[in-house]
Amino acid sequence: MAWSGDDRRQPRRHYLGKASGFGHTVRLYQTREALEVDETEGYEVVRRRVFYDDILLVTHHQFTGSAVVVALSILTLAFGALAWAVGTGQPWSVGLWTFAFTGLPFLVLLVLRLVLRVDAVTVYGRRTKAQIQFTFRKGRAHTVFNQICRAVKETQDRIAREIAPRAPRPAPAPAPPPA
Amino acid sequence: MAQRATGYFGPACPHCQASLDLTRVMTGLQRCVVCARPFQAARFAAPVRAIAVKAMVEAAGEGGTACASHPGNASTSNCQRCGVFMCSLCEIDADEMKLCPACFDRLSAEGALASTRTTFRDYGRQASMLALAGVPLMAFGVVLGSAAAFYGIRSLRQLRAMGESGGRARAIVSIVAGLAEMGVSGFLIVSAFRS
Repeated sequence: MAWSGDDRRQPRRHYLGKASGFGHTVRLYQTREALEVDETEGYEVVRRRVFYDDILLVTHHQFTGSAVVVALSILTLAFGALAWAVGTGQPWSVGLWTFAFTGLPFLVLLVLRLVLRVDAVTVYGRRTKAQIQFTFRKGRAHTVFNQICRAVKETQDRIAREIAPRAPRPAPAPAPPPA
Repeated sequence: MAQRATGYFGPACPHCQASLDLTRVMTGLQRCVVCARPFQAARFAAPVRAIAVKAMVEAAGEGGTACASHPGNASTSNCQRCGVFMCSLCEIDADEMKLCPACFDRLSAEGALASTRTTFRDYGRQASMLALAGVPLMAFGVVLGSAAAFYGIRSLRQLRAMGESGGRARAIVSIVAGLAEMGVSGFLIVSAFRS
């Protein structure tokens, strides 16, 4: 549902999505006048705002993330190698299946990552930017992209109307000559 | 150099982070000129607000009042906290109030303006982590559970003060789990002493 932002009973902000990194999480919220970016590191939250009237560009793209792919590949290969080493000559040993099953989730995650990729919506303002990522919910990524674009356009159009020079009032029509 | 310090250089290719020339970016499917990878773009022309300041000499005939900080400028409003006359240069909109710079500084320093707070502690996360830690360490449930309940209540207060809608469920679950851990832990301790 689109957020009108006029109803006082509505919450102050709406959750749009998040982007996770190593040791920190970024959550993005939509408010009446800006996008709020909450960066959580441990128990500390740092809040930034990207105001709609400051936004220059919104992008939507897909990426694989080479760091994650490399890490998952290494883990898959490591467990695969261990399983192979333990299982050589003993095809039904407990060690073989233990290492194989431990490595299987990493392989599944790697395949999912390569097949699905990650959708990212990035907002570039004059002074700061914000990004949210969607691994599974591709439709949601499109919805959020359109929602942000609509909010930005509405705000910037309204401000442009406010600051536009007022058109001169038309001169009153001359009174008809007395009969 | 200032941009380097903040790590933000303006609009860039979302793939390779190469700076984009916004005059060449159109709304629709784009391809980066550096890495040639595609991305969907929506370009906006951020409006530049020019603040109109009325000089006192222009407003004198209309019974205008001078700004307290800029005697040459006519005031456009009053500070909603101290009532001082302000021109459009001094006027600061914060938390749906019009404030003078002095009041804005003071309220910001006191943490009374929700919109100016940029760093805070996530009590909800703290409560949930303590409640979670109390599950395997049930013997210490009196300490961990009470701490989880305490931070859960702080989290609820924080959410109410900040006007947040999300995060209440996590705080309530942490409080309930914390109280349950306290009860179980207390029961275990009493049982141990009795036996």
